[in-house]
Amino acid sequence: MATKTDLVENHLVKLFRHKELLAAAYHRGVVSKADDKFDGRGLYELHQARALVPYANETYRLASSLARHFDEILQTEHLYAAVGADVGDLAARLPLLSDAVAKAAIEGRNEDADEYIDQFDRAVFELADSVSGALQFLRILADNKFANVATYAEKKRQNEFYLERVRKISDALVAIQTSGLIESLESSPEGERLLLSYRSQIADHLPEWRANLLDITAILREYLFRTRQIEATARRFRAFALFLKRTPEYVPPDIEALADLPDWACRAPGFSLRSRASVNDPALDDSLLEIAKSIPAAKPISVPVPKAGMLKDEPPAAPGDEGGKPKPWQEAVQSLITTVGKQPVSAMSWKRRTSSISDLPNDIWLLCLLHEESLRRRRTEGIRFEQILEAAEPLSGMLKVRDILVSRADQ
Amino acid sequence: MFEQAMSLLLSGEFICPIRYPDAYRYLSEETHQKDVTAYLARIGRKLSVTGLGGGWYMSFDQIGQDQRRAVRDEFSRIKLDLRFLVEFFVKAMRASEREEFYSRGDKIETHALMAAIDSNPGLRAEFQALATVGRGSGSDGKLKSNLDRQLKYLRDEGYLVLANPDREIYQVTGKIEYLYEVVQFLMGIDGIADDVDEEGPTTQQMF
Repeated sequence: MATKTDLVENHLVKLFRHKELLAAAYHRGVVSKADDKFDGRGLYELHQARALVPYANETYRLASSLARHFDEILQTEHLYAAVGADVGDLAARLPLLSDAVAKAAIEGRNEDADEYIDQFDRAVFELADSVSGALQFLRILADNKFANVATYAEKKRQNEFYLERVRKISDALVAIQTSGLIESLESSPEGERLLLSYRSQIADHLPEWRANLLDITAILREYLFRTRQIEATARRFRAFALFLKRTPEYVPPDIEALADLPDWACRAPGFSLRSRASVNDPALDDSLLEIAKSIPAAKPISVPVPKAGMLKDEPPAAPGDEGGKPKPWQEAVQSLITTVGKQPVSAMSWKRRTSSISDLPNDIWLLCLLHEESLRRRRTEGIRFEQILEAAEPLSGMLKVRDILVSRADQ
Repeated sequence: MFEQAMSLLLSGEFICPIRYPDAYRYLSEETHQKDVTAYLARIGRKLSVTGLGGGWYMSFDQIGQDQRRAVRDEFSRIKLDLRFLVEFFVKAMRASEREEFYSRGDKIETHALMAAIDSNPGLRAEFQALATVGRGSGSDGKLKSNLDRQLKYLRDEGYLVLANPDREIYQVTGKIEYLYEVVQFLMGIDGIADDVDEEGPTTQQMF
């Protein structure tokens, strides 16, 4: 006769034999005879083992208990998962089982009492496992901000749904805490044995579970608040961007004149911070020395020494390159304006008398004098240049200077 | 940590959990906030935080003539950048098909964004046009160069950090919340409604 252990092992062997079929059923939702490499035998065996249940058109789905198990193992998230839904019901079983234990003990049915105690242990563990699993699941959802849904609106709905689930679990925990089960077990026959598992699995964990629930609630509420803010912000930015697009000439108003500046506008610009080590502080000597040693020595800049040479003899000056020596016509102008008196002197007559400029053409000489006059130098102050003009073609614009009478004006 | 947080505040940085996580954690404690506030008060400054709590910064304790001048200078900078900042983030949001606006910690993957823009001629044109908004035109006029330059600018301005240089993934900093506040204020003061019809009047409505 097969023992209970054998039954479990046999069941697992059967599941293992058809593992591909089970995996396909979990991932694809339904399987049919075409998926069964044993030509339908796998479907039959798994159906007998209650791992698969008939669905429609000769297809099968995974049994929900097994699907839940895989969900837990693989941490698969589902929309609006009934997380912690059974916590209240599981908790309600405990007083019923403890009553059954007490009744069996009073009536002397020891075997029954042992059996009920075993069932109580299982129920306690199931409750503890359910609460822990629910908290873990909720924590993951809260931390990943409902990553399994894409849109903001769905995230918000999920968030609100799970906040409600958290509230229900919290209510169930409060009910467990205030049920008075501990007092009841303390005063009932065989209660001590029940208390042991109840305390270790439930009562001792209650504060931790409640703290976890508070954490999760805080995260969910904060995220809900944030998503509401984000929604408003997204709408606002879209509207502002559209406004900017439609109003290319828009320039934000000046705000410094406002009596009440918004907080953000009062942001202070930063300082340009720069510190230097105090070289006069003896306490820093060692550190500075260490730094100084770590700096590689500067390479001396090599300046090539020019070779000693000899000065060359100055080349003879080129003809006409007399440097600052005045030209003959300059000397002649100088001489004329310094020697002239009140009596007008004809420039042309004076030139004829001066041998140094005898080679100078007459028109150039007259031009030199006109130039001297136009410069209005200090040395020509009081010197009058009176032009003797020849008659020119009327309206031609031409002025023909025949001579210049140079004289010194009365002081 | 006081020294680090204070140096950052004094140099005008935004301290957010993305860019300066240690300093941000430090400032999250009330006793540390009091220390920092007491220090800043001695130089006429105070510790401020964005409305959503994502960024600490230094602000003026009192607003006198000199401070108003500084406020004007700061706002002038914001004015220059505002159009570019708003348009960039809104367009990036549209390219990435996001319903939410960017918030601190959000990632911007350059390659994904580039691919999204590239596959949509309308967006491509808009991003090319954006290249000339505020920031001058790109060096070679190519979309990728422009996008890189825009992202670098946002990084330099403290709105993004380069979270993964190899994969060119940026992360939005808490300074984005400062931008929220500026936009919210301007929309309020200029009476800009936030429920405008994005599509404009339909043909049916026009008749």
